[in-house]
Amino acid sequence: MAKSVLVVDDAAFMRMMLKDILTKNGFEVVGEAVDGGDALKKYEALKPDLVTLDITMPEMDGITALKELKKMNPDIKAVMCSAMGQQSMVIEAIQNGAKDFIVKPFQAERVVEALTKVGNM
Amino acid sequence: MVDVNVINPFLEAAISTLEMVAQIKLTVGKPFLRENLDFSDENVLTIVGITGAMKGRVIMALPASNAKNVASNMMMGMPVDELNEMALSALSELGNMTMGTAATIFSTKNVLIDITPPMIQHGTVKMETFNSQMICVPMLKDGTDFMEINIILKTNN
Ligand SMILES: [Mg+2]
Repeated sequence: MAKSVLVVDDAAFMRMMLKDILTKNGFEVVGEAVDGGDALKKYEALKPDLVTLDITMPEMDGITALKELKKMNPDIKAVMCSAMGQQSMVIEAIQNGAKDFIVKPFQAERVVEALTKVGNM
Repeated sequence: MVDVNVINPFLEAAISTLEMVAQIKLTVGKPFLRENLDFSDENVLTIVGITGAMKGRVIMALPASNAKNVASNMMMGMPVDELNEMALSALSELGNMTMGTAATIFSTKNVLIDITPPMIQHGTVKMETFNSQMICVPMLKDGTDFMEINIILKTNN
């Protein structure tokens, strides 16, 4: 069965791109969230297999959202998808439970590879 | 005073991001100092704040026709006849990706910065900087002005 994905990004453009890539590669995008707070609500309601998390967002950023999501589900399969590719940021995300980190701008294959791998964990 | 070490990462980031997401090759024009922005033609400005080890903001300015061109390329060639919400979202994400890339380059020089979510201004724009220095770097495509990168950094070190 197709893995369900919640896409979290404040940019409508980026949500559209991710949704397009994922849908074409056998994933089912079941929801989109525009910031961290929205992500928590939608994660709770939709219980998706996978979450892609942007970091730079208004209201609640992606790292804070990751910490909260981890409390809701310690086994959460979250993949960061952010332009903030500093090593310190990647380490912080992984230490807080992210399963992978995709740096924007990305190639479609990188997104598919990361979500396939994490989906099969 | 223009410190090349401080502005180069922004330019490098803009060049690599535009090439990767919009297949547009830019080169760096001649930087100059200015005190305000005054666009009498329709422009799209993407404004991103910088916090952390450096403070300030970067304003990427694209004339409307070039902005449509970039947005269309970012959306896999989907025609962009008007700067609708999705096109402006693409341009704001262009600002986010450029500045995120710049932040990553700075981090390799042990300068750790964070960036704010982008803000977009669209239309004819006037903006005063009020006592801060703005460095404008024209970015060229095929030798002609294509976009501007305006950098305002607070010097409080
Ligand atoms: Mg964002």
